[in-house]
Amino acid sequence: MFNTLLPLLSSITSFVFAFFVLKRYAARKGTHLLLWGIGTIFYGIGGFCEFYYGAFGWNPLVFRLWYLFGAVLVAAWLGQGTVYLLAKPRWANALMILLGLGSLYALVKVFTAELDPSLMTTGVHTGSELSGHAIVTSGVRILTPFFNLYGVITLVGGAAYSAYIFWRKRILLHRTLGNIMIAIGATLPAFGGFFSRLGIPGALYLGEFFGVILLFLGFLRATTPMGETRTAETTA
Amino acid sequence: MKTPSSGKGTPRRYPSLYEKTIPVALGIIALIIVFLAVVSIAVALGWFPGAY
Repeated sequence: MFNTLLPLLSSITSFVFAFFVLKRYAARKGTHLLLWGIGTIFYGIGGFCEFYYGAFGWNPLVFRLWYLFGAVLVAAWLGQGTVYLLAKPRWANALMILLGLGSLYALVKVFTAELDPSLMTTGVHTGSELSGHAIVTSGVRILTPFFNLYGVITLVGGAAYSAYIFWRKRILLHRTLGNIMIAIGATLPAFGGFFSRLGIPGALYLGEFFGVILLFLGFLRATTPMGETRTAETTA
Repeated sequence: MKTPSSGKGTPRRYPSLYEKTIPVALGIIALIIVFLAVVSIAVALGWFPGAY
């Protein structure tokens, strides 16, 4: 139940989130919104694959989709959206080209890798959750920390930086708060993965679920002004 | 923040709850970024087992 319901809820939330983001993109344009929309779709695909595994068992195609979209690409693509929001277009485009090439490389590596599902029960893992241990071919799993590191710096760092800038100027409180929520939400799947490495069952799926909830709420907070905000206090 | 002369450029402030909590939250997030970056690098170098 835990290994099916939780990722299913994560997946549904992600797709609903993607709808809202892409709706905003349709109205306002902005490459950052398009990439966030794509990233949240990746999040949803990853969650759905986890649900599928919990409900129906091993399927190599589902595993490859989960690994590519859920483990490798999602953080980096969400972060790339933030790059487009904050960086100069030339830098953002250059990084997008690198990310695109890297993603294509990851696609080839993941879909040509040899798999062994029995390896998901090695070490501290019970096999009840999907894990990259099923990948036998070398040079595949090493991709994940690089993409995730890029995602941490751009998505978490970018949201924190945005929050800091609004806070420093004491303007747009809703965006300060929304970005803080986004930054924290983006870290939860990473913590879930970290505690999963330490053998804590369910940590990964819990991190992903609460992560997408907080990301979604942060997005809604950041895009919804809080009405009249106190902008000044007179000094005596 | 420098306080300008009276009547003009009155310093902006958030409500006091946010004035106190936002800097703390930003500090914690900064530490988390450093921690996750170190973990990612450690996994990439093989010093730490990867779940993915």
